[in-house]
Amino acid sequence: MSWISRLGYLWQRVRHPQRIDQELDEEVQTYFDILIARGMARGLSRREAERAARLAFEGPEQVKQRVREARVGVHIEMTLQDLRYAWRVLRKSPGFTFFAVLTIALGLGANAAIFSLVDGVLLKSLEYPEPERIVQIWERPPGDLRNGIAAANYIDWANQNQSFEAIAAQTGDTMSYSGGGEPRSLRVGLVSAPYFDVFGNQGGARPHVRPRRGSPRPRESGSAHASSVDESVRRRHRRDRPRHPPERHAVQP
Amino acid sequence: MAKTTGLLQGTLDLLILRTLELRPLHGVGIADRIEQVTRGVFVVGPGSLFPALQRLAEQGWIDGEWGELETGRRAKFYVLTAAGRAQLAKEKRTWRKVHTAVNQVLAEET
Repeated sequence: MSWISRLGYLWQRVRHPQRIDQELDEEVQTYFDILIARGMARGLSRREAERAARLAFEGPEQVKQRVREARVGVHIEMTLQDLRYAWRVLRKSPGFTFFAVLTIALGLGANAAIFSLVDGVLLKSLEYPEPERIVQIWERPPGDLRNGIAAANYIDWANQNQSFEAIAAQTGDTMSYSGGGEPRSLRVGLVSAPYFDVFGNQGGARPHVRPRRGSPRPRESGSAHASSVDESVRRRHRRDRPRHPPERHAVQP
Repeated sequence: MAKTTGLLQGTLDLLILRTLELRPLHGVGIADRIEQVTRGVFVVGPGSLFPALQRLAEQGWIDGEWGELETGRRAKFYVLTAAGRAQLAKEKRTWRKVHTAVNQVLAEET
């Protein structure tokens, strides 16, 4: 049960730090005195004997320091000493303390801000069901990064699609709302009918999808190609919606 | 110091425990005894001896008691405890094992 014994020593040191140090002092001093007495017995003067003992070994102070470093709990003791020292320094120079605290506070704040951004953009999963199966498709013309897709191309893609469960198109627009009172300008998203096959019907709210008359129909989808979606739906999607209209969303099989 | 062969980690503990097995000794007595028995191969300086004594005492293997020298001076004498005796037996076994193994390796060479 050596840890009980070590705890006992630690407790003694906390209770009688001075006595422990005095005893160490005396013990090491006795050791060196015996060496010096031996040197003098060999015919050295006292100073020569002291010097010889120091040269042969380390001086008493170094020896005591080594013992202190070997003691159990020395790390706790040193940490406490460092903390006390830091506290004194900080209290003595409030200007320095102010800027030190300010620096740490800014650092913490910046880290928290960056983390919440990374968390929102990268770490938190999207609110769609099975977001890992949703991809975004662009055209990439030579010498350009990406561009919008012609409606006819989208229809061809949707018709010839063999890789995705559904492909939906989306674009942004501004429309006037004149349903009641003051007419208002609304930003709206225009999406093709498979949009809700791609993103799922969230929270049980029924999106209001109205087929546009005379619009060209993709062969398989069997419903309207372009639809208007009411604003509450748009609002719910705003956070997660990509920013580059028009685009194509698709679900991988 | 010059004569000291590099002590294996843990060897000093074994030497001290073995030295105290015979009778209680103070610091200088322990160092003298080790130097004598090893015929000067191991010279233990106070910088290694006292930290080792501190460690062994904290482990509960030895106990320090104040006594008197012939000169009438107070000195701390170290005594092997029961736990220290058990530890010494364990370290002796380990040492013999290591000793045999190393010897076998060296015998291969010749």
